[in-house]
Amino acid sequence: MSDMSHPPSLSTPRDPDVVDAAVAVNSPADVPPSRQRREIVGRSPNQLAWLRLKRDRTALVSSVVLAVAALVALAAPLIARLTGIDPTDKFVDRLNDFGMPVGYAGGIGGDHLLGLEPGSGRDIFLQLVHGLRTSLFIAFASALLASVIGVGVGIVAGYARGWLDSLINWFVDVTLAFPFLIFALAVIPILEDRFYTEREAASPGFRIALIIATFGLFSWTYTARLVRGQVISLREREFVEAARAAGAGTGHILFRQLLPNIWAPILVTVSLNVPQFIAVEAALAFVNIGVTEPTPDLGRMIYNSIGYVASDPWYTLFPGLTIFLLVLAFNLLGDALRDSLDPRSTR
Amino acid sequence: MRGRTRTLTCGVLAVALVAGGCTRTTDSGGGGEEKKTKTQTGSISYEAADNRGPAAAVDGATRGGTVTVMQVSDFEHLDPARNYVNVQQVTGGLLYRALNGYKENGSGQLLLVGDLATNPGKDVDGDCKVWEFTLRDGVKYEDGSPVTSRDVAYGIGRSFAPSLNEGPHYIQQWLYPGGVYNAAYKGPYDGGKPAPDGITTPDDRTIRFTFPQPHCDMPYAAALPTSAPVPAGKDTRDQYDLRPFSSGPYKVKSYQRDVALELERNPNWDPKTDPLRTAYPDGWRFTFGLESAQIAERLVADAPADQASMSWVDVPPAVLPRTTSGGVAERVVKGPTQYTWVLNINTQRVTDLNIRKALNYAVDKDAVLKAIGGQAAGSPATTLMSPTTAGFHQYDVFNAPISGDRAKVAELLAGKRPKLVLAHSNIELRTQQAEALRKNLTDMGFDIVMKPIENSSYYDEIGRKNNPYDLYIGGWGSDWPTGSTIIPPLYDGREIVAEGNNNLSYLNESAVSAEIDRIRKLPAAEQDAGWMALDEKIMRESVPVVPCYYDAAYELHGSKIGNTFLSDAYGILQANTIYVKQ
Amino acid sequence: MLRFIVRRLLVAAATLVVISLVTFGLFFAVPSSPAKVMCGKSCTAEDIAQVEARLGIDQPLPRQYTDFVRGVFVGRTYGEGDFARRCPAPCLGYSFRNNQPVTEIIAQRLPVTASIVAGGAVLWLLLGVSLGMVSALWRGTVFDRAAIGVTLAGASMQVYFFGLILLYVLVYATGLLPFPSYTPLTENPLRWAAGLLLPWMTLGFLNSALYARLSRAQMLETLSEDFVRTARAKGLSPRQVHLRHALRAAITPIVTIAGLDIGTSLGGTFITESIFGLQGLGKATVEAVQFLNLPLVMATVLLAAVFIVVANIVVDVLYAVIDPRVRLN
Repeated sequence: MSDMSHPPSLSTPRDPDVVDAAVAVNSPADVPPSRQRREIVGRSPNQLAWLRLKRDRTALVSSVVLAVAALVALAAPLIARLTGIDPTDKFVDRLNDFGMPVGYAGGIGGDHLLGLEPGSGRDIFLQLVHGLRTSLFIAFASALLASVIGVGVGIVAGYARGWLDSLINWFVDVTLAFPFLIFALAVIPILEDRFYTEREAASPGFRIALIIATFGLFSWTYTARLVRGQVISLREREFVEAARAAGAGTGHILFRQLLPNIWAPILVTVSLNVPQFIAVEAALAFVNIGVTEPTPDLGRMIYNSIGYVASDPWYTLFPGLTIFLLVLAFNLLGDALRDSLDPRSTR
Repeated sequence: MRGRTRTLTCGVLAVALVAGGCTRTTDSGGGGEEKKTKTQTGSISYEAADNRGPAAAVDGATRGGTVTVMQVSDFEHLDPARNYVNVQQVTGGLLYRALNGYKENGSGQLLLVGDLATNPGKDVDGDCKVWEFTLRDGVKYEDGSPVTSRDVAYGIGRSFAPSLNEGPHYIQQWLYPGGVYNAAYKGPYDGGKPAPDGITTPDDRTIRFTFPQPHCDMPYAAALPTSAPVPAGKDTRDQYDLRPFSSGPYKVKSYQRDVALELERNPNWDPKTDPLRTAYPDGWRFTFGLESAQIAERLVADAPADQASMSWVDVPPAVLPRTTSGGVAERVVKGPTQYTWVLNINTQRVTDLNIRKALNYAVDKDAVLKAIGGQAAGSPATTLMSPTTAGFHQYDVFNAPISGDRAKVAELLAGKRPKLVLAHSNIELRTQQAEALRKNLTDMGFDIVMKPIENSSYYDEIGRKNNPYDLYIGGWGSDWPTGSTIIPPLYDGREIVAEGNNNLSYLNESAVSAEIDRIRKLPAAEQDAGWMALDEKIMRESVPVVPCYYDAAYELHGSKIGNTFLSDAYGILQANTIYVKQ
Repeated sequence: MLRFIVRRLLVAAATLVVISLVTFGLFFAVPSSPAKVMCGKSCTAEDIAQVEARLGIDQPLPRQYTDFVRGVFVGRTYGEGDFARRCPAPCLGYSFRNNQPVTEIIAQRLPVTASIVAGGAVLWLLLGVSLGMVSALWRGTVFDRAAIGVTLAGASMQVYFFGLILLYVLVYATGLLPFPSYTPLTENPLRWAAGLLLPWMTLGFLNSALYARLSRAQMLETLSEDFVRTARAKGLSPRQVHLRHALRAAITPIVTIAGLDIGTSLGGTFITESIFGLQGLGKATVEAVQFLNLPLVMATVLLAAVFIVVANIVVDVLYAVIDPRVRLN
């Protein structure tokens, strides 16, 4: 649902063909024989996927875009040092009586590459660079957390069968039925009050950790279902039987035999989850539970800037375009990844 | 291949870019703003001509139409006993009539005249202790029954009830001085008397107040909504908020909390009995739940459906630059109000006078103002009372440059780096303002911790005596234009209670309290100068706050609303004599 | 079929109980008391205790919960004497801020959200599915490529951004559309539609992007399946193959996702509602949390959960109806 009031687990990468992709990868036998014969014999499905990915120009371009974004985010402190401007520095004297940046196009100039934020007079370029850092970190960490929980729960459910499987399935249903936004809205202030006294500022890291935890808590369900399906379809396979016959323990079978065979669909899920988290993180700013000032944050910057679309459109344009490109690049890469892993659905 | 879709987004954005992106922004965003502050020429008028109904007709005004008022949030209270916020008071004024009211015509002249009463009250013995009001003949409720003085007394009686405690309590405190206003009398519920001690109603049209001490401000206090009549038979207690029984020109047609309030004409209201209201529109529609930017953009756009609309919400910073062009600028109603915003210093915690002085040298008032809209939001302040107060004169104890005086701060701090907790409301505008302060004070050598507080409970939290914060921004406007509703409620240590304080710096100095008592006993004519002198004395000797800015209103209305001016009494667009252009 | 539905309903009831318990516990942990918020300024401890008694939150937590559950089935009365407020069954609580039973508030707010979702869903399903299907059938053509591009952009856009730009371009700058408003459908269908056009367009475009991508992939998938090949081999016309066989199979997963999307959205579309200034359920819930209007929070959370749970069941049943390969057990 693109209303953003809901976590990614309910919203996107629910395309069933992700599941199909996974099935295809893990069972070379499913690949149409004609295609298999055409490839050079002796390459693993993963190698094949990698080859296909390398040949995909869209994947290349989007990877470059993402790499640049990641690099810029990582280099944020360096950029601050080079320009001599801290992201929280305020150039109030360069704002007019209404608090609007003086000059052309929102105060763009040699000193301030992308101009100044109206009202506060902060440098937009530095806010953007540092904000990108926060947003990307939250998105990646959330995706990672959601995957870890999802894989763990999914493997257990798929392998356990019986009542445990039913219980986990039901738990997934409960999680899906719980309104995410209300939960976040209620729980984030409560926890902050519990962990910090009234005279301490909650450290920015704590709020970020809470956001990541909330995202993780609500977004593991898709991965869990996916992994469960995979495990069920794989566990009766010969190689698992063989391992079991050789006396391997459950842990060994789960994590050494099954897991390596299902990483591909998980990867696809992660790559499609990350942009969702970036977008939903921005939506949190709407209800005041996003990253707090003065930590720069792309989501909050977008929220603050959209009101200026008519009066200082440049301020709206830069963060808006950044998030759009970022999400688009992730979506393209995710698609490319899926295509390369599932040769049948080449578009 | 897939990249071409990007042009779609840019194309849509380009429309906006052409509209505002390629012109040069200059220093004077306001377009030649005149920096005048006016002092209210408030006066109490006993002239028969001023006190007589009907209200003077407005040139070119027409009857009919419905005014839409777009608001961000619903009114907390419309019950006259609980009504203490300017937007609620102006709305309440359409529904019920207090003993007195303010007569304004947009020329800056503010007259206090009788509303329900035939004049602003008779000082029976000439010592301001006994006040008598005579009600007008022919004032009726929405059901046609007459308004009586007993209903006024009952209305004041119920304002003592603990469950209806949100209103102003001047008269209440004057009737029961010393201690909490409702310690002895808790209103007419649960077996209480229908009216408090000291209020008598010799006949249906007369009400008399007898105070133990002199209160020459009584005519002003009687203009607050607590003196509106409530018939005992129509009292629905805590539900009265949702449907006050009308004695004014309009009555409630429908009220859906947080969504919309609709008013329609009260057919039993007689314009000949009313010196204040012309009641030109046939109805009013208040809509709630819009964001301030949505309201402002709609009013800027002035689409046919929105032309008979207005708002009491200040235009937010993001929309300000769009209000300076020809067609829009003439629909802006702006000007100074009676509110002053200060950075309160919790003097219970920050006891070092040098730190309080250093804060006064440190605060960058320019940054604090620009974060919320610059000169449209107000002008830098150096005093406690606003320039609209009677007897105001400007002084500046510290004479710091607008963006602060680094050397002075360093000198006063003497190498220390005080850690101070800055609490702020968590809405975007206030967060931006607090962040501007944090950055500014951190640069000046303080160690600032920001604490966001949920907006709906901000004043409750900082109004707790033992609140754990050191600094917090707050605004206060006088209830009537004299210092007696500013200095005593904000700086008299004897008024500090456990919860719900107005004295947010918790200044508790006997010298200040003694001076307040001395001024109160002065002849009415000398009090104004007395309050102003005390204002300066407090800033010079006690330094409980950093005066930040004198508030200004900056409101918009649609092109079909006529006779729009800023009410000096309430600091918002007036409602009594507004009309819809046909 | 019947046994399946009964079993699902039982599980659904258990889900709702857990969600109501969690919500209850969650708000019990809120540090500031709702009684204090309600009581206003200068409240004494007795005043607060009085309000708490009226709200019934002076009771221990388990008792509060059982009171709540009993209220759902038989209704309940808040406070006593002059202050008594009757809340008839199904009583989801009484909001003293609004002075009305929570169910009445929901009855006012839900139609707004439902209208937004209904119009939006029609638009995104029609637009999305047809775009996806056509572009699958015309795979590789200019149309297909253009569709892929547009849908990718749409899927990468956010509602807060796209909605706002539509608002500026179509409402503020040009006045082509009125600012969104809600008129009940029963009052004036034309004004109902006109007032909601903008949110419909926003949700319609953004979600149709997702649905187009999904249906295109699904259709391609189905077209390569054996039964389609069989149908072709039988000599059926392409039209028959596409509509009677491929479409039917391809649409099944789309129905699933649409059902869940609609169910989720009915619980509140906060961002859409706040961007367009509409007083729907999503806004009511978020405001209720901010004002600590706990009865309303509780009710809306439960309602949202009910929608999702019911949507799940409906989807499962529909699945069996549409796809002959699926049998419920």
